[in-house]
Amino acid sequence: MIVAHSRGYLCPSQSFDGQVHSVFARSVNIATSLRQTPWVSVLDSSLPATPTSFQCSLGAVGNLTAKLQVGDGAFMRGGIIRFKPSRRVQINTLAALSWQPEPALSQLDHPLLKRNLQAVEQALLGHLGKETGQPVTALDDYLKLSGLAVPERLGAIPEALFDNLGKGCGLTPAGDDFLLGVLAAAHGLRPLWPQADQVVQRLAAPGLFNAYQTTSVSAHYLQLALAGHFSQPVQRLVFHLLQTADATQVQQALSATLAIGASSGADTSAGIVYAIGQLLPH
Amino acid sequence: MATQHKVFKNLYQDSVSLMQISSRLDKMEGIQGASVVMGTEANLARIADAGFGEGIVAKPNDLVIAVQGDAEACEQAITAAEEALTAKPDDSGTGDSAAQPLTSFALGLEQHPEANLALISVPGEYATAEAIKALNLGMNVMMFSDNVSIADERVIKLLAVEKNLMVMGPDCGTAIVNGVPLGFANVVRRGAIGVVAASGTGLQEATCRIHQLGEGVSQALGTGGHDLHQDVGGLSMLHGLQALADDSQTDVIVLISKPPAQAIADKILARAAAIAKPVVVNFLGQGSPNVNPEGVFFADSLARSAEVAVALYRKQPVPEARQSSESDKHQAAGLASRLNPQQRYIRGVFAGGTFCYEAQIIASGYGIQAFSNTPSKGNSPLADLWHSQGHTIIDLGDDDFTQGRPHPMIDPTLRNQRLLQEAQDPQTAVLLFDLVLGYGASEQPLTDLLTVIEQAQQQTAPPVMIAHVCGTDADPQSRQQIQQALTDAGVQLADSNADAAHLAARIVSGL
Repeated sequence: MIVAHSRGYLCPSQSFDGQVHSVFARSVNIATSLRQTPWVSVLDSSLPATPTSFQCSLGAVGNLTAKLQVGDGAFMRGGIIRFKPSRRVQINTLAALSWQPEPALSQLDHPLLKRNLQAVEQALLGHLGKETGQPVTALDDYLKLSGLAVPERLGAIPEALFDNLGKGCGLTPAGDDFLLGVLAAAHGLRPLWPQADQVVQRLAAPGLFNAYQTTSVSAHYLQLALAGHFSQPVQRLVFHLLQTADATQVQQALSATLAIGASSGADTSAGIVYAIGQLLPH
Repeated sequence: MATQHKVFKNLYQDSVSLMQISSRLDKMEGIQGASVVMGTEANLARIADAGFGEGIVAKPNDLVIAVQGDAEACEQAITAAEEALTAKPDDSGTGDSAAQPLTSFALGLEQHPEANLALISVPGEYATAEAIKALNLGMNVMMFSDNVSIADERVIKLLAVEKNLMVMGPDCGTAIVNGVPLGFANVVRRGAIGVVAASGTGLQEATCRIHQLGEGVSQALGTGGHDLHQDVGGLSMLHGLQALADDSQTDVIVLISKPPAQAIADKILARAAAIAKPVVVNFLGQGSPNVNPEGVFFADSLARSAEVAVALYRKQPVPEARQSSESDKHQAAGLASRLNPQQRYIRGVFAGGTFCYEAQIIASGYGIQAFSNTPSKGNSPLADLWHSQGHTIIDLGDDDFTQGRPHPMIDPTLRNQRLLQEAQDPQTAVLLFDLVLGYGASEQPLTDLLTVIEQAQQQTAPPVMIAHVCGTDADPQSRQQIQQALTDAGVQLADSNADAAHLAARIVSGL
């Protein structure tokens, strides 16, 4: 039995039934019967923690796709997640410690935020240039390369970002990740910045988000994002960007976010930088 | 040019795998372009625009592979992609436990059920969970990891108390358990003196001095520097004290810490007094309290705590606190006579944090107020860490200096640079430093150091250089040879860090 060491703050404690939605070498997503938490993930420690994931060292299990299949039964009883027909993977969640979301913004230091934003943007552009092998000297270069269209004024028509839904490579397409970054930044700023709050409210308006325009894995993360929940590295990046004077911590938070997926972390970071740049008063 | 595509229904692959497949297809001979995307409406429109073919029918959860190039190459590319996507994965984690990598404590215990100590060295944010797992599995814990909050430390240690287990750390770098050195530790003979310390280099100094005096160590337990914090309550020191009290191989116990909160100190001293074995206490800089509980002996330095313990073990009279002798004063005056009037200050450059702290306390006993990055009571913080002012005694092992670079005990480059910088300052009278040997420390501590000392000696008015080598002759780096090389280079050597600091302070206070 594998012992989970960490659990997201939205992970269920009660029993549930479900089935394997998708399985990868080091993670498995479970569609559950719970209304509050219809989606739970079990992730290897090397992957970024999300609010609905249990994390454990899956190295000893080997490749999960050899043990589990899409549609396999999955259930939790007494804090232990089991699968059927396979009994080779069992996750004990009882000792897992719950991580908590980053604290909400309590004060806004504009010069600090501007400094952090410039540093993150420079580092991000450098990263994107290396990854794409093409000169990326401004966020516009990145948007062109990715084929993403963004509103000139985010506050005017934030809904335009939904046009990018499902656009781009990867299991969570670039357009989705970018939107997720925008939501993370807007949620981070909203306690003290009314324009950010308006963006969040308009993007979360009922009926606007069509989950069928993208993959169901990506749709899950976007639904969480619309409700203000993000993976741990993304939360940390926004928190440090907005509130930390220590440049090293900001850079570390960016590095951790850039490490998400193949390009998801970079796309999300780009969304964060774009949104803060748009929402920050000039 | 031909195009070909294939849709894999409801197939999820992680983004990295998709990128790898895309890159592999792109590089195939005869292929001019490949697209590996999820079949969202937006992506289907994009690949149609890019000329991969119109009319591809797919849903968002389908994986679409589309290629352009020679017809035959397209065929081969699609086949290769299909093989990559449907290849039977490595099923190596199945049954044979001997073949499994030990990636958890539980797995380790399956293979080595006799193991009862877990050593945790992971980033601080993960360390608490690992410690709790180990404790729940019935193992004692040594946490090398730092950056664990006081609140988490308390949680871990309360769980350990509940389970009657020992937690060494967080931020515990030194221990000797059943003769096995863990982390930064020295090779010392086994014996009947047990040590519990909330200080790594303090533990090293005490155990080395015990060895140098001809006795040995039963157990040397670190507690981590925050254990005696009011909110943690000295839980590990209390447990270690009791463990040594119960240990039939231990006759005398030594406790070492920076001064704890009064309530914690009282609790520890009360427990020490209740033990039927003599307990030697060195709360650095706190001096002897008014009340001297029976069976508890106070020492005013790290080395002296070892000396008192050895005397108690040998049932000899406890030595009096060492006073400056005429010979000491004569030695200091002789060294001071080499200095010119401009040379007035001590510059202490330490790798061991507790050595730095102890040197400051001893210097302050001579009325010397110093600046430091880790100032002791009465001293002041340095305005600029990289430049000394007046008397300066710094800890180069502190976080201020180790972010992004190894600890100076491992890589003494920064320490050597600072030594040279201080030696070149015409106001430096005494250059005081430590050299820590043992497992984990630099295997070649003299590399570059002797060159620095030589350069320092070539100054028009070189400072007096005083060093203390913390180690034993059984260490991987022989203490005797290193001391000889330093003496040959003109460095004044002291038997202990306290002796080195006393000599430095005597020289400067006599100027």
